[in-house]
Amino acid sequence: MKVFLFGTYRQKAGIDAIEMQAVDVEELKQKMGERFPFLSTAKCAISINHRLAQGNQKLEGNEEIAFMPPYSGG
Amino acid sequence: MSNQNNIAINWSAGAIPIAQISSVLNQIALSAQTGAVDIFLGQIRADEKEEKCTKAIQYTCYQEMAEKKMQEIASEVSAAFSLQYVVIYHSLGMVEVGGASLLVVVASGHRGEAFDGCREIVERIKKEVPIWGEEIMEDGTFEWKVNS
Repeated sequence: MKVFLFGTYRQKAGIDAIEMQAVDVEELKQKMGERFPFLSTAKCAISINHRLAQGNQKLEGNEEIAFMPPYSGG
Repeated sequence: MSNQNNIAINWSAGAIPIAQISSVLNQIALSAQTGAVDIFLGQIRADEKEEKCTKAIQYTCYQEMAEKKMQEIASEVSAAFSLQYVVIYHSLGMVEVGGASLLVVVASGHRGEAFDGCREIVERIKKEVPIWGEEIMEDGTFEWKVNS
């Protein structure tokens, strides 16, 4: 699955997106935290196919995921 | 731009031109049942933090999700407040101090619905839409904007 990063996360990671494999959201969070340590303590919202993840959702492997810092539009 | 019946979501590259307001008013072709139009225009403020002053904000977004979320907000608020038209513009890219970054125009039968519906849309955009602003300070440093 492709995981996109936005805002300050994109800047800190130095990349826009990364390919990852995980069976559910918790495993993905853990793997992303290992790859990008700042994410393990970050207050991030996670979206799955453009909708916010609801708890520890199962992942099929072909979803579009995003790790997003707090929004600041307007 | 995405458009669904009486809802239009638009992105503006850089600041939203003020003349856009009159253009929107012409576009929505107010019906005989319209009694009120409320307009919110958000602009970049020269905030001071630790002796640094904001010069501009660079906006980025997760466009596919942001458009879906704005459409959802506009539809839900439109239904809840009996709005006849909702038009939203948000900036992407650089907007300097004094420039407009958010325009929300709503029309309804009565002023109460227009005031309340417009405010609800603005508040929800700030809380729920994946858009990020990076503040560019006058000394050349950068800080990520935090919504209050």
